[in-house]
Amino acid sequence: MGTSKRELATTQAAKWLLELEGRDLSEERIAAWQRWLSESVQHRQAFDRLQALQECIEGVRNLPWPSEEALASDVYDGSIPVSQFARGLECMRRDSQRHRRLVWTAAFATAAAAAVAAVSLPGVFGMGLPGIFHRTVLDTGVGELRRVQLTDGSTVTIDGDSRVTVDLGKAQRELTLEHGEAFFEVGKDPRRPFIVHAGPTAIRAVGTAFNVRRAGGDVTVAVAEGAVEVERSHPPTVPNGSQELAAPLTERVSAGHQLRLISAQLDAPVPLAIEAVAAWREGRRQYIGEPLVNVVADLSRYSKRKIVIEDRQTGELTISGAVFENNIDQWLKSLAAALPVEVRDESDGTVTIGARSHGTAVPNK
Amino acid sequence: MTSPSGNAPQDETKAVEARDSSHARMIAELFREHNESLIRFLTARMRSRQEANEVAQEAYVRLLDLHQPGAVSFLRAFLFKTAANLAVDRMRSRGRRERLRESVLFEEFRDTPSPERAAVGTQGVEIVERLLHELPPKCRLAFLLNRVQGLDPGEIALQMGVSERTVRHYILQAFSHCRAGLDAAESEKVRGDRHG
Repeated sequence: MGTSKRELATTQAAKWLLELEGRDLSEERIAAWQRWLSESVQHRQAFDRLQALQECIEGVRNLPWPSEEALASDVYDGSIPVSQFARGLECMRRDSQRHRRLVWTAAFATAAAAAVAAVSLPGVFGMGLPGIFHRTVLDTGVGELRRVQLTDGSTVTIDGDSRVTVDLGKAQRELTLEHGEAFFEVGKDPRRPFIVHAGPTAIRAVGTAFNVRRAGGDVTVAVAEGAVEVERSHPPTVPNGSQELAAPLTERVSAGHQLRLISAQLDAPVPLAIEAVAAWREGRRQYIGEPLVNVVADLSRYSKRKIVIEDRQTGELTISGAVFENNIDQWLKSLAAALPVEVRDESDGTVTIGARSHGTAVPNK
Repeated sequence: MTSPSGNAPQDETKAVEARDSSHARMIAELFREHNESLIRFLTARMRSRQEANEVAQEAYVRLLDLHQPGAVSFLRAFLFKTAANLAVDRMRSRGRRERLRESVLFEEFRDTPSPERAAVGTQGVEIVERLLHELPPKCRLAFLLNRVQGLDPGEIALQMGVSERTVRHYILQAFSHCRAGLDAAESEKVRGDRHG
């Protein structure tokens, strides 16, 4: 409690400091700042300590200006404390060295060899072979990460506990995300469209890079390069059958955007930073207003530890921010501070997330 | 009426004296109540405690020179405004000196630490250097541009190609991280001093 109060005072003091340094400062704001100072000794201390910090910074002789490379690979967005971010990165590095090594599958071993043979010896092998060899299932275990180059030059990166079936036909390239999440980098071939099916959706792309994720009944498509057409290919399954079936719908999603399909309904695309697309490839997941139930579904693809959400209402609470795949425990701990939930460790290793039984945000009457 | 008659100057002097003494009292009161925050304010804007003290003194002198002093609330506003203006003038003329200070030749002219910094101890700078290293690159860049180069969040946002909001987040997180790190180092030191 003391620490968080102090942290709050530090943040307030920093905000005031920035404001006082600003160009257009009104007398009213100066007076407001003086009132804030006079409210408590903690406020005055927090402010003075920031000024002391400022002097220390000015005393540093070799200022650590970051390099261009360091800046380019930095994914921190300031939404969580630096220490929390650093812990996540550290766990990620350690873990990627041990378990979650990116596995480069050798270019479809047999299929690639056959394709090369087919090119060099067309007379012998004819055109019948590729169809057989180009139908493949790619899957990953919990916590695994796999990158596979397809014979058409496309690359599929598959997240943990996911399955993608591949069918590179003559007329089109059809892939299906059965479950989980994958990032597709599409090789250029204007004669053969590249289509990814995901539940009730088909995503059509030509020369682009995009991410498809299935969590619960939802499908999320995020584009890093070029554009895709998302089509609702199957009529939505309506639980009580009362809802009229809407006509098929397509939505274009361009680079730096994300589209969500919730219960088979297409949402409008929302902007998403390019570097946040498929950030899971670097061990980080970025969420914008994501239901807790989906986040937990994602995390269960990295950890064998079972996470149970007790009730529907809790599962519908939304989360924004970054989660590190290999620092899930830390994230679970911080969850109770961000949402009105209670996180309990059960004796069998399961983690239960439920509505907070006391001290809820809504006052009882 | 406009030209002073024979005994008028004497009357006027008396009036001025009377006014001056009540004016001086008001200023003394203002000083007692607001000097601390005036120094904080000026240190924030000038990034130097020593200069903040000098500018504050000058601002009080200007206040004493006021010919038509008003109520305390007016004086307070006037004090801060005058001080802010003086600070701006001084900052402008400082630009050249600042560049000189950056050169290695002038290392010995670095200013003396304030009481706060002395309290933090000489290790403060070293600890802060380490804490700055710990900041993620973009956050560190935004923080240094703001704290060392004196760019405001809007300018930094333009330079870095991110939103001003993100820049503010970077700066606030960096402040929190460094402050918490310094606090931790200090409480460790206190514990160490007590036991060893």
